[in-house]
Order: sequence, then C-alpha cells, then structure tokens
Amino acid sequence: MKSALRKLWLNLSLLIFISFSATQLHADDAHYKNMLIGERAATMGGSYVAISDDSTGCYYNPAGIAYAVGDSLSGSGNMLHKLKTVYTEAIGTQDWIRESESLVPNYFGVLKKYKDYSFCFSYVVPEAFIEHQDLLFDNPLSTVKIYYQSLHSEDITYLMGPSVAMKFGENLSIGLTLYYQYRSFMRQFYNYLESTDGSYEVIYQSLKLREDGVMPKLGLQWSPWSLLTVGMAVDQAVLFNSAFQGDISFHNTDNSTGTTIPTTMMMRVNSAEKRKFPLHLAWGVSYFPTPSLLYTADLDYYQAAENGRADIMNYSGGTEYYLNPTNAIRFGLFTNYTNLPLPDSSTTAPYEYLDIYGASFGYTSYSSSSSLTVGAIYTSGSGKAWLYSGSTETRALTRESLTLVFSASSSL
Amino acid sequence: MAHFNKYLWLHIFIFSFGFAVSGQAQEFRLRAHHIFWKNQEAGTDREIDFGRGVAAKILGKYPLLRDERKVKYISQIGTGITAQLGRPELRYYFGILETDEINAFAVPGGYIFVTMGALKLMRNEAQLAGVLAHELAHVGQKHIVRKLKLQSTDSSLTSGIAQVLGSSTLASKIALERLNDLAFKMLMEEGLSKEDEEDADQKALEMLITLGYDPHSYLNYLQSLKPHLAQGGAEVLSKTHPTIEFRYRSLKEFISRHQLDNIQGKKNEKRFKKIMAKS
Amino acid sequence: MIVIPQKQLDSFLQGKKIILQFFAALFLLLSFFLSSVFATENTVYIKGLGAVLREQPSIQSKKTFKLSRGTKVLSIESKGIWQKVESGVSQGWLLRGQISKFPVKRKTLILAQKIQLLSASGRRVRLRTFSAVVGVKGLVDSKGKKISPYKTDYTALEWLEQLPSNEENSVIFLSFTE
Repeated sequence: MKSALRKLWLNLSLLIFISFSATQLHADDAHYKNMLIGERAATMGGSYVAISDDSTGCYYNPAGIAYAVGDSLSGSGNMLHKLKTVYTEAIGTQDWIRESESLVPNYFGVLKKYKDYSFCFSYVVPEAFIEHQDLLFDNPLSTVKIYYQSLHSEDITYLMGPSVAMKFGENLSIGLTLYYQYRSFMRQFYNYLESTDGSYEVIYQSLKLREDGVMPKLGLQWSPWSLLTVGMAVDQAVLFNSAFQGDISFHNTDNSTGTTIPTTMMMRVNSAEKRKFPLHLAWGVSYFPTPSLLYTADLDYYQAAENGRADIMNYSGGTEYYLNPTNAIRFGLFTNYTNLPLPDSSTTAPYEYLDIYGASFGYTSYSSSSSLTVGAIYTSGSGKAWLYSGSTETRALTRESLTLVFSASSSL
Repeated sequence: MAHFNKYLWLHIFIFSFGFAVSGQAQEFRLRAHHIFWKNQEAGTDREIDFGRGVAAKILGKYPLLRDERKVKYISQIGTGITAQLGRPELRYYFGILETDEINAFAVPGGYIFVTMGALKLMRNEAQLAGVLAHELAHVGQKHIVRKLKLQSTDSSLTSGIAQVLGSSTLASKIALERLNDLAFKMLMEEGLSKEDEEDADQKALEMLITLGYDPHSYLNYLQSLKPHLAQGGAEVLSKTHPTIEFRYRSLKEFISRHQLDNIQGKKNEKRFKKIMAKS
Repeated sequence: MIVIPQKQLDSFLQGKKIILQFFAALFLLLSFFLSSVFATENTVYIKGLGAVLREQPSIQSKKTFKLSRGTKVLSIESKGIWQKVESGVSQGWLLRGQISKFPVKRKTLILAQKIQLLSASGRRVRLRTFSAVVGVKGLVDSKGKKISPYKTDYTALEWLEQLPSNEENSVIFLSFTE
C-alpha cells in the first residue's frame, strides 16, 4: 500500500518534471486540424484547396483567390468550442477529465481584385487552446487524503499577412501567402497532495513561451476540364525567435518513515531552442456540376521535421448544396490523425496516441451583397495515454469536442 | 525533404498543362447566389430610369416623327414581337427618328428607335421585324449595360450602374448624368462590339423564324446596306456597326450551320408598303 | 505515389470501417442530391405571351397545346433552337426564345412613365423622378456649369410614352399573313 502510494506520488511529481522541457510544452501539437477556419471551408470539413475562391481562400490556397467573384471581406469565429478529454481511471479509480472552452474569432480576411491579380490580407488563429481546471479529489486512494490540482493554460497561435495571386490564362493560377506567425503560450500549474500519514507535497509551475516566425505558403490551381478544379498548396513554418522560461518550485514532507523529512526546491529554466515545423503539402480536387452543387476532397500530407514525429496524411471532403439562390447548406467529414509515431512495447510517458475524426455541418443565408453562416463541427477520438513516467502502463483516452461556428462576409 | 523534391518536378509537369489549356472563364465556379443576384442587380426600374435619360438625349439629337399612323404600325409590330419574345417585365416603346441616316438604336429599359432613312431602305415587313428584333436582342442581352460596366473598370457585381442609380446624393446624380452621356456617346459614335452585333443578328434571326417571318429578307436588308456605306452617305452607320460584310457572312454561316436555308416565311410586303407610302 | 508510413497502414486497417462509412456517407449524399438537383436545374418559365407547343421541332408541325406567360415547366430536351418541355400532362416543342430561366416578373413602369400615361390630356404635370427634373432644369455642377453637353427632349419622349399599346392586339396584328 505504502509503496503504491509512494509510487503514485513520485509518478505525479515526475510527470511535472518531464513536462518541463521545451518540446513537450504543447497543449496539443500532436494534431494539425484542431481548428477549422473559414466561412465555407469550416462547414465542409476544412476541404478547400481546390476551391479557395473567396476572402477565406487566402489561408487554404492563395492561388484560388484569383478566381474570386469580386472584392470582399469576411470574418469568422468559433462561438463556442468545448473540448473534453477523459483519461479513464487516471487518478486512483477516478477519471481525469480535462475540459477546455474558448470563444475565438479565428479568421478575418479582405480580398481585392485588380485586373488579373488578386490581393488579400488575412488574420488567422489556427490554434487556440485554453484550459482552466480546478480539481479536488477526496480519498482518491485509501492512503491519499486530498489531491488538489489547478491548471490554467493558454496556447494561442496567430498568423497574419498578405497574399497575392495571378492568373495565367483562364485555367491556371498561382498564389503566394506570407504569414507572420506568432505564438504565445502560458501555463500555471499548482498541485497539492496530502496523504493519510500527514505527508504532503506542493508543486507550483509557471511556464511561458513566445515564438515568432514566418509561414510562407505557395499555391497552384488548375482547371483541366470544365466543372473540375485541382489545387495544390505547400507551406512550412520557420521560427526565427523562440523564448521559453519555466519556473518550478517544489516542497514536500515525507512522513512515511515516522520522521518528517522536508524537501524544498526552486528552479528556473530558459531556452531559446526553436521548434521545427513539418512540411505541409495539400492537394485538393473539386467538382462543380451545377451552380447549386459542388463536391470537394482534400489530402493533407505532413512531413515531420523533428525526431519523434511521424509523417501523416489527413483526409477531408465536403459538399455544398443550394436549397435556393439565397440559402445553402454544407456538410463535411475530416480526419485529424496524431503525428506521433505508433507506440510500441517500450513507449513510456508522457505519450498520448489519439486519432480523431470529425464531421461538420453549416447553413448560409445570402443577400445581394453579404452572407451569414452558422454551423457546427463535432469531433471524436479514442486512444491511449501513457501518464506515469517510467511506466508502460496506459490509460484509455477519449476526446470529444463540439464547436459552433459563426461567420459573415460582405462584398466591397 | 527528399520526398518533396522528387515529386516537385512531377507537380510542375502536371500543372504546366494549365498553360496549354486555353478557353472560357471559370464560370462554373459561380454559385447560385451569384447568378441570382447578377440577374436581380440592375433592377428593372433602375434600368428604365437610366434608359429614359439616354432616350431623351437621342431625341434631343434627332427629332421624333409624330406621324401617328407610321409610329403605331412600328409599335404594333414591335410590341407583338416583345410580347412573345421580349422581357416580360419591361414595357417597350418604339419611335421613328426623322433623319435620312440609316440606323436603329436600342436603349436599356425598352426604348427602340428606327430612322426614316432605314425605313425607306426596307422592302417589306419581314425586314422591319428583323431590324426591330435585332435591337430587341441588344436590350434583352443587356449588351449596352454590360459594356458600360466594363468601361467603369470595376468587375464586381454590385458596382457601376446599380450603385449610382440607387443613391440620391448630388455626386451620384452627376455620376448618373455622366453614365448617360457615356451610353449616348457609345450608341452614337462607338457602337457595340463585333461579337455583340453578331449575337444580336443571330437572335434576331431566331425571332423571325419563331414569328413565321422570312429570315432571308433580313439577310437581304444587310446586303442593301453595303452600297450606302461605300458612298459615305452613312458614316455614322459604318462607325457604329462593324463591317456589314462581316455580319452578313457570319449570319449566312449561322443559317447553314443550323440548317435554316430552306425555311420559308411571310414578308407582308403589301401591308408594309401601304403604311410607309403615306407621308 | 508517396510512401504511406507504416503507421498509416495499421491505422487504415483498423479504421477501415470508418473510412468505409465515410465513403458510404458521401455516396449516399451524392445520390440524394443529384436526383433532386437535376430536377430543379431544369425548371424554366414561359416568358412569351401565349407560347404554343408543337408535336415536332418544326414550324410546320401540328400545334398541341398553348401555355400562358409565367407557367413553370420542366425542360427535357433541346435540339438547335427548339426546346422540349413538359408541363404537368402536356409536353411538346417550343422555340427557346420563349423560355426564360428566371421567374417572370410583372411589368415595371417607373413613376415618370406612369404619370404621363395618366395625364394624356397634355397638361403639364409635375415631374418627380430625377431624370425628368434634369430634363426641365438641366443639371449643373457646383460651379454652375452644365454637366452634360448633350441636348435632351423629354417632351418628345413623353409623347412616345403616352401612345397606347396593347400586347394581345399587337400579337394578333403580328400574326397576320398576306
């Protein structure tokens, strides 16, 4: 019993130490499609590389904006993004539930046409993970009297920059977007554990990270036959600045042997190590059989640039159907696979292997010069989590999210 | 990175085909709401408001013939055509201009004018119907409206005329007046493009066949315009109408392509001559 | 093609069911939409006054049915300048010039046209629309200079607009054959 408690104790504290290093700071950088962006794209599973012909196209495939119908601007946001992750029986016999909720305006774009050129300026929030959690467990184990955990973290990435596209004839276009990428991450973690023999442990951790970089994106779009378009886009983010600071303080007393042994520790770590981003290639194909209907499918390939990440391929597809000229509905499906390699018998914590699948639905109302869209995105995934350092023990992991999407656009 | 480089060339190869493929604009991208609003946007009452301004300028240049008998005849033929084949939301007006110039004008909003010079050249009712049908095709296809839009260097759907007409500020009234001038100048001096004239000729022929008129009469009318061009008696005509020769040949080719050579139809020569004779 | 990593293959085999469901859903959506969409795409309206349906796509062919302006019909086939349509029970060929893709709107008469039609007695009526006012006063810019160098004649235009016209009679007049 005592050794089991000790083990738990150690595991929890070591968990904190391990998650100290810069590369493990992610809120969730094991997935590339946590947020769907854009008025039409978000409700079609994020499948937009071969369409991309409006002010939201600047992000997916800048080449597509060459075919925009006119000048416009659009803004969209995730009105309500509820994410729930459950680690089954992670704390004693109780589930560890992490929830995140955010209200994020995640896209703004302005598009202007001039002769055969199109220009765009856009602001995108591709990642926003905000977590506030206060957990209190009474007697999670027979030897633990109280376990209290408080976690507050915010991890937001911003992209902003111009795009330009040019037409070559009527069937080929090329485009370029140059984004400035900025990431701000902060996490404050507090942990208190009191055992039945009077020992206790207090941990306080504060992490901060700022990343600055650029993300250029090159796109091409081609229409080989009437009613069909093919698109391709390639991008890779590169950081030119990274500043990390982590503070941890640790204090505990150990009464297990009958005498009280206190331990206190305070440490600060700084790092300027720059994260490496994968090379992202996206291909898309879209079919426009009638002005009321279109089908689209995308393939996203990510070639890992860091050790410990795998190359992955995500799939997505969607459709848009006009009930009448002023009302349209959209539907989409997508995958959001983890970029961590397949675990094997030697995998230890921290490790989370989770593949996510999603579906989206949306409705748009059109007027002569503007449109309003509402929609919903649901994702669900299951996998395994390695939570306890040095142990190959796993816990079942499920993650579910529901996002309400709201966006509007207007022609200029 | 190795993966990427290998397939980069493949991608460049595939996409370079895009250069070779020429052709139409990607109109299939237009969604239902684009098409719907494109059709609604000019708004008929705005088009009429605009058209009246241009029509008034035409009447400021050429006097209107007040011979009720002749005007009524033209109007009945014209209205008969528009009732069946014109835009049902418009009321069309047909007027005769007192001038020896050989010309006909179509103004947005449904105002059609034919000159006495042109009427004198015509031999029968089928030719009159053909000329009226040609002008109607311009109004129906909104050729003039579209050409004005192009000249206002703005390709967005809700720009140009619609904006100007919708507003009531002095600035937009001035802009409207300038647009009117532009349209008037276009009709008087430049004329429409070769393609638009060709399109109107073909539509006119279709209309003649639909109504049971002899389509060859219209072709003969085009022929009869040629000597007048050569003599310089219709300088305005040559400027505002692309070569008659081109139009004639284009129409002949259209006829044989759609196998319309053997279609017969009425000419109503007697009725036409009877009305035109009295002056 | 690009080498699919081992992980994807395993994931694929495990997730095969899901992918199958993915495509099944797409296929069902496709067929559902296609069937209803192509029906609506072919709806057209009769814009001509009294359009006549014929048995065969030719002027000499026998007339079968007459459709009034504004009728909604389904377009089935097209052959050159002829179009085959179906309206409830009847179907036949008519010339494509008599069909419009958009619903038929009522006749628009702007205020100026209406005013003149009402007062055919020739009495000078107050003209409220912008263009008519311009005709009377002439538009000048802030410096008092006339904007347009062209003369206008609204009086003649008004004379033209007040001439009576009747669509049905005109159609009958037009159909006369010598």
